[in-house]
Amino acid sequence: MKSGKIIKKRVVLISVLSMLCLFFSVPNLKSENLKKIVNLEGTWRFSIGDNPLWSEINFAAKSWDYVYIPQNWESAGYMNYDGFAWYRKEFELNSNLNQDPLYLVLGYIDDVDEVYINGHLIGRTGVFPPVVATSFSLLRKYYLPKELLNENGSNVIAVRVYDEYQSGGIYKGPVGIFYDQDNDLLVKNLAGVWNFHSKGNDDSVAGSNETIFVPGHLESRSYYGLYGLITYTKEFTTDNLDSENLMVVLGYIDGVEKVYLNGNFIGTVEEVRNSENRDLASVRILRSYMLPKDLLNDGVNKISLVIENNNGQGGIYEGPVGLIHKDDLNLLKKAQKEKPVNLWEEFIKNFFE
Amino acid sequence: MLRIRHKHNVISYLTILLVLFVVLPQMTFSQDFSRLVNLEGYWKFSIGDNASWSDPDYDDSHWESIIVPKSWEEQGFHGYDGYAWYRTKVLLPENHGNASLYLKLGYIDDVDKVYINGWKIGQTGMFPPQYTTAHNANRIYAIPSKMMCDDGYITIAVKVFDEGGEGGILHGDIAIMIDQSSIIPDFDLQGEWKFTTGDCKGNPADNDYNTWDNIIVPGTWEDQGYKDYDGVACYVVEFSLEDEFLDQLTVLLLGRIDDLDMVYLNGILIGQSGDFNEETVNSRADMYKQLRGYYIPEGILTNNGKNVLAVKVFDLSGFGGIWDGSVGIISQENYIKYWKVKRNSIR
Repeated sequence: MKSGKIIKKRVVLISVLSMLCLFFSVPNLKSENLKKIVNLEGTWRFSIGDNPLWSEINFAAKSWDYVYIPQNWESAGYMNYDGFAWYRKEFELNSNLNQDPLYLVLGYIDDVDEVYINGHLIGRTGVFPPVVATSFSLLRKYYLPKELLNENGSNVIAVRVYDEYQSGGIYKGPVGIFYDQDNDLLVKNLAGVWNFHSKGNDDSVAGSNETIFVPGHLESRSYYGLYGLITYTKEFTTDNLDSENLMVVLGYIDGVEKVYLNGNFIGTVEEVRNSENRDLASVRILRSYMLPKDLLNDGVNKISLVIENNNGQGGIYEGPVGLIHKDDLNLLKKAQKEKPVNLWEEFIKNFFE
Repeated sequence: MLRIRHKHNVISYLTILLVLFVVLPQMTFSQDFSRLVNLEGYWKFSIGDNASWSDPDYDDSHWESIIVPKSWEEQGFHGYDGYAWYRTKVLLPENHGNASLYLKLGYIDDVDKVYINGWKIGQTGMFPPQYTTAHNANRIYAIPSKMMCDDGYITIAVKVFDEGGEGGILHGDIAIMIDQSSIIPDFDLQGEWKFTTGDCKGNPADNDYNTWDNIIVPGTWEDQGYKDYDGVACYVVEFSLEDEFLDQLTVLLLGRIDDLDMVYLNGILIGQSGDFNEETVNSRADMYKQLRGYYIPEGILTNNGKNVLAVKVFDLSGFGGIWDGSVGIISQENYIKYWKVKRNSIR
């Protein structure tokens, strides 16, 4: 066991560097215009272990430790602990929240997590044992359905975490309830629950019909390593919209998409490319498509998006998603979008964090 | 232990430096040993070999008395090579509670096999005909709690083989140690398991493991007859449980494993420490000393006959196997308690 470790020490550096490369492979623009509605950084209750009862709203975590979040649990005293642990936080709301949709942002979690609000499961990222898949470099941004919240009273968040190796837990912020202010620019907000169909590369697989909250990284919507054909569809109603100055915006997409409105093809990433963004990887290009005249119905419309060779990563991973005026789209772009990211700066930043 | 393949080059010296400054300090990483019973002094001794000498009830009153540690050549057995046995009986103090106990026997020339109250707890080196010396290994054996007698006495019997030159328990610390920092399973699984080298496909327990060799867990496989073996090997152990374990959430402790492991309980994969390949080992350089605690999913354990635990281990290089305790089943409640105490002792 000892002599082998010498070789291991020598390759640690190489391994660390190759792990850091993961930071580049996961889209992480931080470009959304998020506004914090409720701060949840601070003291949470914490216990190692795993028990389904701990998700429940009325569970009394009296014997649990107090730990500061965000911080890995090694720093909170659980040196060398790998395995399951739970976090719980009670917080009060005392006024109705007007914004919609709201996101519960849990920062970055090492490695896998599952989140409950008032006893209801709202999301999962990564894959739990026996065969673990980590998502330590992905921002946790879960859709927080308002009907699950107690807007005038106390609420409980319970987070089940599994750490496979070394640093574990909610190790980096931000942590809180957020609203994406870019949604205010939309004429019609299409963020919400979409129908979702996935089918592997193998045609013999029947595929599945499910729903998914859009936008969001597939990995943080419980789809890990989803390859092959995926389809998003949503029906929505409009009434007397002047479509002349409108565009369809579908946020940021990981993969090459084809978009259809009421059965008509309206674009791919290639139509979105222009002189300003031609050097960017498609994953970093804000998707906006021309809305052909007379295509929008008064009443029910259906938008669908097909990604043929999904690479197992993001899908429609970041907003905003909806209909937008051309002028406002320019505002949106100017604000902070489509900035070429300096990879070296990102690398250094992530390295020290 | 230290294998230098390219002599007289810079890498060798760098390697030695690495061992001194990087590896050696880590060897003391977790255990917090203190001495419970000093075993230095006179032991009963006989040359020859007889299986019944491991029996705690065997009457050794007519045997010679010799000092441990010291070669038998220096104590009247000049020129003797071959088999010999050592025996002693000690009363353990009552204050050790449930903490993990270890038997230290120092350096033995050349090969030894150790029994506590008639149970085999370990072996270092290989007896003839596949003789392999282990004269340069410092013996530390875990004493499984199930091998304790109610009266507090333990009988230690050590079978030794010396091929030539000095023989016996030569030098080093001879004692029963208590590990204050160790985690104590509610159900001890240390002891004799079934073992085979090679990649038994799928769940190791699907094979006819009753024909496999016996091995002591914990302990490296190099010390138990598989010198220089690297690659995949499989362990299986059967055990029956009391009802109390079925009514609570439990964690399977597998001690420390060099390097990676995959764990099946009653036919179900319950966990693994990573894919079996070089990349995983290299990217998880500290995995070999990480205490394994696998949460047992509800409904897997049974009180209806036997439970079967199977562990597949991948060792890339050097020593391999389930090499250090604690090994057993612990209630989640006690597991949480252990980590809380540990946390508070750090702070």
